[in-house]
Amino acid sequence: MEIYSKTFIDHFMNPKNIGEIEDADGIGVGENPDKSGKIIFYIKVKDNKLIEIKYKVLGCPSAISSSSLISEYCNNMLIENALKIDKNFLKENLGNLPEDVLECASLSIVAFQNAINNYKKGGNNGN
Amino acid sequence: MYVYLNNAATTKTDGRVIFKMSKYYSELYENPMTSNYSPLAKNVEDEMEIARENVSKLINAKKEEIYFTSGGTESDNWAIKGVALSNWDKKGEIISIPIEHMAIIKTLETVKKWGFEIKFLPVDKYGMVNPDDLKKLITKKTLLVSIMHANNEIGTIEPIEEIGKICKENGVLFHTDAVQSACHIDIDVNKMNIDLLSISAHKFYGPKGVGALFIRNGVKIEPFMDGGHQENELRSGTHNSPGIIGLGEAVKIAMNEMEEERKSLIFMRKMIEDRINKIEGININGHPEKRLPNNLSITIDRVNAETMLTYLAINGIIVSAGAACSAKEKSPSHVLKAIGLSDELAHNTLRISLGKFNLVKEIEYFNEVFEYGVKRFREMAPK
Repeated sequence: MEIYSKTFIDHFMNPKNIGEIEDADGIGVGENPDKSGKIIFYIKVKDNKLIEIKYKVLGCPSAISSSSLISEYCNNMLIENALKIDKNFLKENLGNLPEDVLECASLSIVAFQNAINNYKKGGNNGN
Repeated sequence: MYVYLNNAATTKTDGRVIFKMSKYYSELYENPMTSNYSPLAKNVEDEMEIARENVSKLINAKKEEIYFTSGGTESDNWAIKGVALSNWDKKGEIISIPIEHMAIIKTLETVKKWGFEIKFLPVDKYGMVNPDDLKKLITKKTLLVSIMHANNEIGTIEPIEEIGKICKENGVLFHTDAVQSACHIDIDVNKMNIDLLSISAHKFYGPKGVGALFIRNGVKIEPFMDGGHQENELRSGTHNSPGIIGLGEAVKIAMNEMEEERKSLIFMRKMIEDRINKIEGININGHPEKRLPNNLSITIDRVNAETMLTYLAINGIIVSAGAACSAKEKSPSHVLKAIGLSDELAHNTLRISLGKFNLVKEIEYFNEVFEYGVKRFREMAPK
C-alpha cells in the first residue's frame, strides 16, 4: 500500500503496548466530539520518567498507529520531554500524512498528554 | 489473494465487452455521423444502433427513446435540468428523496437556484419511501418526481412501480436513477410508468464513461449538451462509439446471464450474512428483502469502518466505508444519516458489494479475515 508509509502500516497492523495498567499513575482520555474515536492512555511514572505506557483505542488507522508510536517512542522518556510531542513528531515518524488524517492522529497526543497532566495533578482518575 | 468487493463503485469490464470494443478503436474508428458516404462509419453506426436496441429491450422501451450519454451523472443531470429548462417560464416543483446519489442531490441544488422548488419525501429506517407520502406531496405545480430505483449505499429497492402509477395519475413526469439496478434486477418502463431513466455501463461490467438516458416519446426536455446534431439533436458531441458498443454488449450479456448472476450473488451474500450473524453487534442496513442482490451494508459495534477498510485492504480485500475520516468529505454519508444512523454508527459502517467475478473461495477468505479483524479491533477498543 502506497497510501501509508511502512512504519505507519507496521504500527497499525502490529500495534505495540496495547492494554491497560491497573495501578496506573496517570490516565488520560481523548475523544472525538461525534464519539467516532476514543483513546485512553495509561502511564506508570518513576523519578519523573515514563516507565510504562499502555493504551486502548477505538478509531481510524491513524489513531491506532500514532498511539502505538507514542507508546514506543516515549517509553523511558522524562515526562517534561514527552509533553513536547506534537503533530510534527507524528508527521516525521509516520510519513507525510495529509492534514485531515494528521488531525485524527493527534487525538492520541491529546489522550497521552492528558494522562501525563493527570499524573501531575495527583493522578489516576481518567474516565 | 486480491478480493474486489466494491462492485457498487465500479465493476471489472467483461472480457467479451473489451474484445467487442477493441475493433472500434483499431479498425472501425470512423465517426458514425459520416455513415451516409463511408462504409466503415456505416458499420459503426449499425453497431451503435444494435447497442441502442439492446438497451431498449433491457427496459422494454422503444429504440428511439434511448439516448447515449457519458454516464450516470450526465443522465441524471440531463433528466432534471432538461425538464427544468423546458419549464423555465412557469417554473414549478420537483420531488425527490434524501438518499439519492449526489448526482441527483447536487443537480437539485442547482435547479433550486434557478427558481424551482425542491421537496423531499421522507424515507424509513430501511431507506424506503412510502408511496402514500408522495400522493400527499404532489401538487398542481409538481413537474417531476425523481426517485432512485435502488440505493447505492444500502441496496434498498424503492417501490417504483407504485410511484410511477401515482405520477401517471397526477400527470407528473417520473425519472428514476437506475444506475445501481440496471442489468441486475428487472426494469420495465411501461409497467413501472417511468418517463426518464438513467443507466451507466461501468456498473454492469461495461466500459467507464458511457451511459444512457431513456426519454419516453413525447416528454418535453431540453438538450443538455449543445453542439452538433448527434442523438436526434438532443445530445451533441461525437459519439463515444467504442464505449456505446461496449455498453450494448454488456447489456446483451446481462440479459442472458442476469438470472444466473443474481442467484450466485445472493448465494455469496448469504455466506457473508451467515457468518456475520454469528458475530455479536453487527447490524445489516437497508431493507431485509427488497434489496439489491449484491449489496451488504453493515454497521459494526466498536469497530471503526476506516480501520476495518484499511485492515482489509492490507489483506488484499477492497470494500468501501460509509464515512471516511481521512477523506476530504468529513461528515458521514447523507444516506446513513437519512436512515437514522448517528455519526458514531455511520463511522462504523462498511459496504460490501459483490460482483459476478467473485468466487466462493474469495468470500471464504473475506469471512476469515473479517471475523479476525472484528475480534482484534474490539480487543483494542476501550470498553
